[in-house]
Amino acid sequence: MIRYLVRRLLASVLVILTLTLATFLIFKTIPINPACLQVNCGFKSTVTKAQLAAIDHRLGADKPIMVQYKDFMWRLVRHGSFGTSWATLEPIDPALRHGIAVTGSVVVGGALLLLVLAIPLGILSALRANTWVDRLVLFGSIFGIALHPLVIGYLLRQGFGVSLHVLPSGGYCEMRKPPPSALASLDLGAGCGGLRVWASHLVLPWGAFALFFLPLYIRIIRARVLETLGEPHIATARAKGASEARVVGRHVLRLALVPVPPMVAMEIGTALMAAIYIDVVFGLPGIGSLVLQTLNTARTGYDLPVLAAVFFVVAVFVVMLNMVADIVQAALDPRLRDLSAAPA
Amino acid sequence: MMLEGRQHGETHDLGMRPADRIGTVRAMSSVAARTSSVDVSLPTSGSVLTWRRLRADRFAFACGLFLLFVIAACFLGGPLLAHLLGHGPNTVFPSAVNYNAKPVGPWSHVSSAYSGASPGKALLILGGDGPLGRDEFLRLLAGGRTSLEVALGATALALVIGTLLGAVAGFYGRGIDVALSRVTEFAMGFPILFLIVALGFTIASRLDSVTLGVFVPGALSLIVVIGIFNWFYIARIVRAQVLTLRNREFVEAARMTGAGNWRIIRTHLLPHLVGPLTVYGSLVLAGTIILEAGLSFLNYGIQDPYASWGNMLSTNWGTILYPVGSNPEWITSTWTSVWPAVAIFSFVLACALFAEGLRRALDPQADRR
Repeated sequence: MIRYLVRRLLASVLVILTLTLATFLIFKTIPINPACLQVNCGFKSTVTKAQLAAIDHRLGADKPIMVQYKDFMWRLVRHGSFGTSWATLEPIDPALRHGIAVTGSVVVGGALLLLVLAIPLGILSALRANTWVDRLVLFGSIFGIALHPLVIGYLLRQGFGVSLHVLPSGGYCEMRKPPPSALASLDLGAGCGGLRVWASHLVLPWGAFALFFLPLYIRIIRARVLETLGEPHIATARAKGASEARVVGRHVLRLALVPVPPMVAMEIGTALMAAIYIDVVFGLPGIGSLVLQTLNTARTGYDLPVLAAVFFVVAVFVVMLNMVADIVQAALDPRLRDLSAAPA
Repeated sequence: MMLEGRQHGETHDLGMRPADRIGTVRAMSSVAARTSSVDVSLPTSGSVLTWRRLRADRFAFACGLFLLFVIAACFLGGPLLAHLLGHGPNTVFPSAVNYNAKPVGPWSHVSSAYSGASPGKALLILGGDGPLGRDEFLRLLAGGRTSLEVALGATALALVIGTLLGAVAGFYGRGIDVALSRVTEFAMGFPILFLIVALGFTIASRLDSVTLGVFVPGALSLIVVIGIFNWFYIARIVRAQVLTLRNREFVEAARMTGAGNWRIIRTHLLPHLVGPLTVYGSLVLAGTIILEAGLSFLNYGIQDPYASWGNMLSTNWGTILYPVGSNPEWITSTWTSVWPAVAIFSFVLACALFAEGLRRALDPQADRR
């Protein structure tokens, strides 16, 4: 097991390093000048080549790409920092941390809501297989499969936020209340906070996230429960006189839910993609907005440090989640534990 | 991925069972007829049986026909209709918009003054598309053509890359297999949208103007970028299939007659993959439609004068550049977002249902039940 984990870890580190390097190499090929993020190079520009070169030098953009990559990694390892943005000249870390907090709130809350909805519905639809309940659930899930996440988001936003006014239609509020400032009355919209406000702003994003993934999970849980119901140990439990609730609760669920955590973890890429759409629909300042804003300026230049930082963080998340999923799965299903304990 | 189910032999999907059962009965009766008749005839081939089962599954068959119809309507019907109506999808009709920049409703005859179209009255079948008053219906067809070009092209590219790499990994195994599995595992977890957007910029600057005479500007770079990042599912499936097929008797037989690796892959393994590849190809197609719509919506795909289902969605709903909530007249202009949304929805739904039906038709177990 230990050997397996170590090997897994080494491979993951390699993957992360490769992806970050690839980011640097890819962006090197874009024929755009980073200095143009600082000064106007476009229409009616009076900037000279020497000035551009000076800015490039100050940003460190004139160094060979491998040196830049080495600097980036070294700064990260040595100081635990991603450095400064080329566009704003401000440190990347606070913005990135905030983006992660927002996206994390959306994804984690959405995933929880998803599980809360998908597990009962999937089990219900399996236990009542081929009845109208099952058909209704499946019919509903078919719609979820084909609706674009953007459309789901907009329908929720327009329905509950704009038309009914029950929930805020967008924006993000901090979980903790910011300290009251003298300018609070002038500070429209910004600086809202508190657990309840935070949650009320995130209900619709969570709903959109959960609805997007719901069909897939309902179907998988349904299939797994159906499959598990046919296994011999269920028949044994029934033969021993266990009540139906006990059979489902103790014996079926445990086995049927084994593939769910790894699926949640493996779908993190899709989840982050959904989070980008949700950022856009609800105007949340998450990772998606961060990248899209960065790339929006890419028509004039590109903010390599910010992009590399985001890619690095996301890659680390993905790899770590994959590993956690494997471990959780092994914990839930003893048979897998034996398999992974054997020299792979 | 959305095709779990039926491990249990008792799945039903949305009331499609009766049709399926007819298919099974038919297939069984034909088997019975074959075995009872004395004369020796060739057994019915697998593809014929699949076709029969698919025909019997009326729902999936209808979905397949619908897909073909949409493709034909977009690629042939769009230009034809534009010719008949006398204006194109990008023709701007200033008189199709009122003083509030609100477009005219469905089936409106508007003056074609200042539009560049042939003088007289022009018919807008679904009304105008927004502040510019372009023909919504023609744009829907043209946008469909663009979206389908991108989706079909990217899916084809993904199928080629995925099949090739998956077959090589499954057949040769060892190091290449491990490397490919790791890359696939990671790439399936990473938000591809980031990479596509990022890489889009490097490629787009070179490929945007390349249209090969058929594509809309920007379509080719989308095809390449999406195709490059979309082959992982395919590769995984092909690899798994090849792994199970590799040690079967017919491969050994082929090897004994002196066939080389490449020949075995080409003539003995690939035919087995056609079925699963069609199924997963339809699913990838559906996913690519969604992805293209998202990219164009976010302003990283097809750019405005050219229509695509994605950027048509954004005409009302706004993008990062045109923020949400800035359009107070949601109720009245909502149709210009509804049409592309419905188009995407129905096409993706038909793709998914067709894939499901096809998978059921390809299932060799279906005969025995």
